[in-house]
Parts: sequence; C-alpha cells; structure tokens
Amino acid sequence: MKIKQIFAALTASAALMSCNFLDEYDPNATTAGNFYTSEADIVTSLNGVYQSLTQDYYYQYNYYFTDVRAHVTVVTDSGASSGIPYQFYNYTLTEENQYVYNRYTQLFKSISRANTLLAHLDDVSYANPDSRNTYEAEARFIRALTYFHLVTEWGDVPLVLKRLETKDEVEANNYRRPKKEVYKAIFDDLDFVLGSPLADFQPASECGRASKAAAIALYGKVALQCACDEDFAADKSTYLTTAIEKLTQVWDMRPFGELADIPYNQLWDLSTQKSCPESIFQINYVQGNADLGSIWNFQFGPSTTGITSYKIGQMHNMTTPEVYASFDPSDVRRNYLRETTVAGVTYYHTMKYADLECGANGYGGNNWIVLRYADVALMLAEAYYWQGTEATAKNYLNMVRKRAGLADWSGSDLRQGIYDERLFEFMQEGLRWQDVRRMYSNQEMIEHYNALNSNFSVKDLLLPIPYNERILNPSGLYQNPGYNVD
Amino acid sequence: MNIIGNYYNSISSDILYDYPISSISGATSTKTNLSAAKIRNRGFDLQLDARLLTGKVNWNFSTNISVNRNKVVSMGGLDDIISTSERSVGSHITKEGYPIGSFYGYNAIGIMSKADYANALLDREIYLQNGNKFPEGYELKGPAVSSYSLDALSYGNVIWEDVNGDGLITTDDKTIIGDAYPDFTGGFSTSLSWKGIDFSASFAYSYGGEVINFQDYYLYNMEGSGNQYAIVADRYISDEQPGRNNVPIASRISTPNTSLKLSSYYVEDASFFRCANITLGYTLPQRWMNKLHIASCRVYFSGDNLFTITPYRGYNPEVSYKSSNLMPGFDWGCYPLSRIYSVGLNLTF
Repeated sequence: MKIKQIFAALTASAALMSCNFLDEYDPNATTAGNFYTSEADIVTSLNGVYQSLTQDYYYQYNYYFTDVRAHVTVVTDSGASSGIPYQFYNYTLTEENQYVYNRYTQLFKSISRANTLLAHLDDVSYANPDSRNTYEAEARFIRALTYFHLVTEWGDVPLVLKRLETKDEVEANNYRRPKKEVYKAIFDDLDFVLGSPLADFQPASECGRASKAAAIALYGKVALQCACDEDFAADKSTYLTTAIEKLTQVWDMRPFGELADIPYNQLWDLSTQKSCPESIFQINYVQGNADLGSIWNFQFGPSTTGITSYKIGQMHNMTTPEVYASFDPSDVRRNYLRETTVAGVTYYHTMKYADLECGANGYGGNNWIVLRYADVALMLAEAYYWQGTEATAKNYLNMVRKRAGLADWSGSDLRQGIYDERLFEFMQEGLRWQDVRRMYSNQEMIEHYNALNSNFSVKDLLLPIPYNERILNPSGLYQNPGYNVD
Repeated sequence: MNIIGNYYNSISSDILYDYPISSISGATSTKTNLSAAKIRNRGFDLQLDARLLTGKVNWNFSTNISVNRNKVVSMGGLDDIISTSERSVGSHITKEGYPIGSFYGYNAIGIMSKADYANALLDREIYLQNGNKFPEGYELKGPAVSSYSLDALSYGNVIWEDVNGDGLITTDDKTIIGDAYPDFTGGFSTSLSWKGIDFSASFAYSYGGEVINFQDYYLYNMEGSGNQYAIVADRYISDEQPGRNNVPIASRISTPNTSLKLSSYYVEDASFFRCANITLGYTLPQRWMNKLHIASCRVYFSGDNLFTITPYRGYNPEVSYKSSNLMPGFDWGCYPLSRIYSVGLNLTF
C-alpha cells in the first residue's frame, strides 16, 4: 500500500514537472527577452553595437576589400594559404573565399545587434526622455554604415530591419533585395538620425560615438555613391543635389576655420588623434589593452621592429611603387609612406598607424577614421564636378591640396585630378574601392583593371555571395554575374 | 570458453543538431530538433573469451570484433546539410542514403601533364573568345579547370573531377569523398600468469575508417609557407620528373590545387593497429611478506599506447576534433595520444 502511494506521488510530480517543462527558464542564463530591465542595459547593448565595429572583418581587415582590391596596396606575404588574401589582389576570388564569408557574416552581426537593441528600446523607462531617441539614432547610424558596406561590396543583399525571432523568420528574410531598397533603408535610418536629439558633435571624451555630423556626412557619401551608380542614372541629378546639400550642411558645421589650419599629422599623432577637430567619426581603440587595442601598428608594419611598432610587422597593405611614384615629392602626405623591401621587392608601408608606445604586444592605440572633413571637401569637389560646376569643384580640391603643401590643381582631366587627390589623401584608410566605383563606369572599371591584370572581369565589380550562405537559399541568394555558378 | 554475439538494427529519430542558418540572424547555426529524420545503425558484435590453460600456468585470451553500418534513412524532407568545419570550409554532408557526416569535397583524379596543359590553353582561347564561357555543346580538349587565369593554370596542377560535367570546376563539383566510419573494429587481449609472475597485453584495431587530415591545409599546401610533409619531395616537377605523379607542382599561390579546396587529398586512411597496454608484474612470495606483516606485495611495469601501426600521416587516427556528430573524423591539431610507462608497487596490509 505504502509503495503504491509513493509511486502515485512520484507519477503525479512527474506529470506536473512535464507540464511546466517548456515554461521553465534558466535563471542563470541571460536571454534577449529578459536582459533589458533598465536604461543601463540599453547602454550596455548599445556598446555591444559599437563593439561590433571592431570585429576582425569589419574595419580591422577592411583593406582586403578596399585598398588591396583597388590595386593600390598589396599583401606581400600572408603566410600559409596565401591564395585566400591573394585572390583579392589577383582577381581570382571564388565564392568559397573564407575572408569574404567572414566579412559577410560579421557585417550582418552588426546589423543584428542593432536590430536587437532597437526591438527592446521600449522595454525600459528613461531618466531623460531624449535618451531613448538618442540611443535609437546611434544604433541606426551604425546600421546605415554597415548596409553601406554591404550594398557597395555585394550589390543586392538581404535587408533585415527588425530582430528575427525564429528560424522561420530568418529563412523568410534570407533573400537578396534590390540595392535600391537597401539604399532606401540607409536613407531612412539617416533621416531618423537627422531628426533625433543626437548631438552635432561628440566631445573628445566620447570619441568613437556617433554624432549628427557623422550621419549628415554619411548621408552625403551614400547619395554621391548612388549618383555615380549607372543603375540609377535616371536619378543622377537628384542624388547629386542631395549629396551637395548634405555635404555642404556638414561642411558648414565644421568646428574649425580652414582645412589648412589642421596639420595632417594631427589626424595621426596619438596625442592629438582622438581630439582632432577634422575627424567626424572614428572607431576608438585603447592603447595597451589586449581586447580594446588595434592591430595596424604591426599589421601594416615592415618586417623590422622600432619603426611602426615593437611587434614584428606583418607587411600587409603595402603601397605599390607605382602609387608611391605618383605622389608629388613635396606632398606632406608622402612622408607617411616609407620604403621597405620584401623578398627583394620595394614597397612603401604607412606611418599613419605607428604606435611605438604600446610595447611588444602591439595593442595599439590607433583609431580607425571612418569619416573626416578632407573626405567631405573632396566629396564636394566630386559632386560639383559631376554636376558640371568645375570652378567650385576645384575650390574644394585646392583646400585639400593646400593643406598637403601643394599648389593649386592645374591639369586637363579634373575627374582624374579629384580621384588622384583622394588616393593621396586617404592612402591606407580603406576608401579606395568605393572611390573607384564612383570614378569609373562599369565598362571603364573593367577596361582599366583588365589592363592592370587580365583576370579582372565583370565578376570583380561585386564580391561573390559566400557559398555557405548561398546554399541556404540558392534561388533567393542568386550569385553575382561572372562567378560561374549555375 | 565463452562466445557472445549481438546483432542490432537501431533507428534513431528526434536528432538534435546545429542547423545552419543565415548570418542575417546574427549567428550561423541554431540547435534544432529534427523530428522527422531517421538514422539507422545496424551491425553486430562478436566476443570470444577463452581460458586456454589453468593450473600452474594460467592463460586467458579474449577477442572481439564489431561491424557497424550507419546510414541516413530519411532527412524528413529537409535539404542536405553541409557542415562547415575550419577555415569556413564546408567539409561534411549529411544526405539521405549515405552515412551521417560523410566527407564532402573535390575529388582529385590526376595531375595535368604538359599535353593536358597545352589542351587547356586551347580551351582557354575558346572560353575567352566566347565571353568567359563555353559555346553550347563544346567538348573540352583538356581537363576541366577552376580558373582560366594564366597564373592559376599550370602543368602539374591537380585535375579535379568535373562531377556535373559543365566543363568548369566550381562548388557544384563537390561530391562525397569518404566517411569516418570503419568497416570493422575490434581488439584482443591475453593474460598469462605463472607462480608470482603475471603478464597481460591488449591490442585494438580499426579497419577502413577515414579522417580529414586538415593539418594538410598547412602541411600539404605546396606553397612553402611552412613545413611540408616529406612526400612533397616526390612532387611533380615536369613530365620527365613526375615524382609519384599524384603530388601537385609547388606554387606560391596554390589556389587551383590543394590549399583552398577540401579535397580527396585531405582524406586519409585511418586504419590502425595499436598496442593499448602491456603489463608485466611479479607478486613477491607470501612467506617473505608474512615476516613483514604485509598481506601482499606486487611490483609491476606497464606501458600504454606502446605503438600504433597506421598509414595515417597525422598524430592519431582515432580522432574527432569536432564535437558535432555531423562532423566526425576531422583532425585539426588534435593532441596525440601519450605513451605512458609506469612502474608500480602494490602493497596490501
């Protein structure tokens, strides 16, 4: 009898347990659903969105996707499987390239973090009612910046603007959307930032945070990219008007007088970099910190120590001798390129990311500058050039030349002059790929690069959709032209 | 003498696995319960124990053998699962009708001779003239290649199997190139004792299993960027010096060859015969011990993993780097087994 009772009790409790089984939550685990309980959690989550900009394949290895791919720098020796990085320089990329996959997944990680934060903004209350929209503006700025990279590098991409909760939702959204829709989403995000209470500029103590000036500058840049995209030829003049409007607006907000008042080295010296008024948006790094330091001091360094770093240099992202030779010898920016030899070949490494204070671990304090005023000035020059207002274009071009110690521009091909100036100004700053995509039409792009390397063909206008992603939805994630996949 | 035999036919369902999802979710896989899929394990075990001698000399012997066949009976309506291991390389496939986590990659079928190379150059002309594709119905003169870029094309390159027959080597030409499951495994052990001396030995073996030796990513990439296997000394150099005629030409940029393609080059026979343990002991005579008030005293010497006979080039053919059961038999710098010698003394009071 007694045993029967115990058995009955056990059965009953087992039944009770099984009822609750699916409702149980693990009090030791933090999930997105129970994480957001106060404003401080929103701030932590926002920091996570910013932190995603320091992922390896976001800005750290950005050079493969920009300067190297645009053929102005070289990865001289990359150790084992040099084929993977070499594919970027040699135009033999395949859809199985691991770096392309990493870039794609990590950029979408930034998007997903921003979306997660945005989904939970209304879970908590705010001490200052403006804070909510400030946080939203910051997350949406980063989402816009990330989609700008995705759409300029892959063309059509999946467009996700909300937090995806289930596997079915993920599958339902995993298809490429026309790039026009992606650009529209970028403009929507930036419009929100422009109407938000976000500060015009961040003080040096908040270096690394987004600002309204950054959103306006990015707005101008995206509009200019659209204006130069032949797929949007019908809207070229509208995009140019928008670009000029936004770029002029941010130019007029500048917290300094003449560009020439800011010496070029103020952008790069570690003591002045974080507070340099020319910078509009930079990714902030912390010197000597294993998790928060940057790597370019040795990544872009020569194979010896004591020049850019006390860690042995990796010789990546080296300027080619042809590019070096195109600099005017009196150009102050040329001083940032120093000769070095790799396996008997001469290259020029950059001094922009030197850090001789951070020690042999190479945890550098060098920031990554995403947007700065020389970029705005030269984009204004570009926009006016494309609009046919050459005198104004030259005016902005000469501001940048003056700071570099050069005379006013005098040449016959203003387009070449402007884009050459961008090359000299932004060497090793990861802007070159988007620059040449604006400079050349698709056909010119293929002709120009095919003359440099016969492997360059239509496929190289865009990156391949990574194999591991494409197989998840082969029809919705159709491959870009020229990658020879059925 | 004892003989034990088991036959089994087991069907597993409700399988928990890492379902690959798009990175637009912020992750690349999610734990999922696959309720409709079925996996079958079928096989038998046979064990034999024998006491060969009793009395002054005691001699026992036992041996066992297991044969198991694993097969995905049904995917429950899902697509094939291609699992990504290291370096973003899709290396395993789980597909209806094949063992779970079969190896997935390119199949090498030869080395390009100079004549093959000359023919590939002719194909290249046609390919370029026709706007980077072949005309309808064109018959290749040379082997299919992954790229007609001149610096990627060379004699001494690997010839890959053009599985879909479209004249180009692309990801669509990946195929099943092996699996981790042995044809049979087993072992035997013996123990012998005489007076105070005891001896035992045990051995294990496995036949027909394979391993993806991913160390080859570095050690067999033919780039010279790190140490290579000794066999690369026998590589193809020219038609006159073909070496073993299955090791591709050395190249600083080996994209068309082994370095970036998970291929049959990485798949190695992981059969082995291992001496798992040998122990030799001596129990001291009781009459000595009685004087010392010790119940018994035994000294022994024992050796574990004394030797392994295997064609496998890595450290240990019995390896699984990936914990996921969709990615068995993958070696990526796994620790080798340690060889242990022990000398001991057992005292009982």
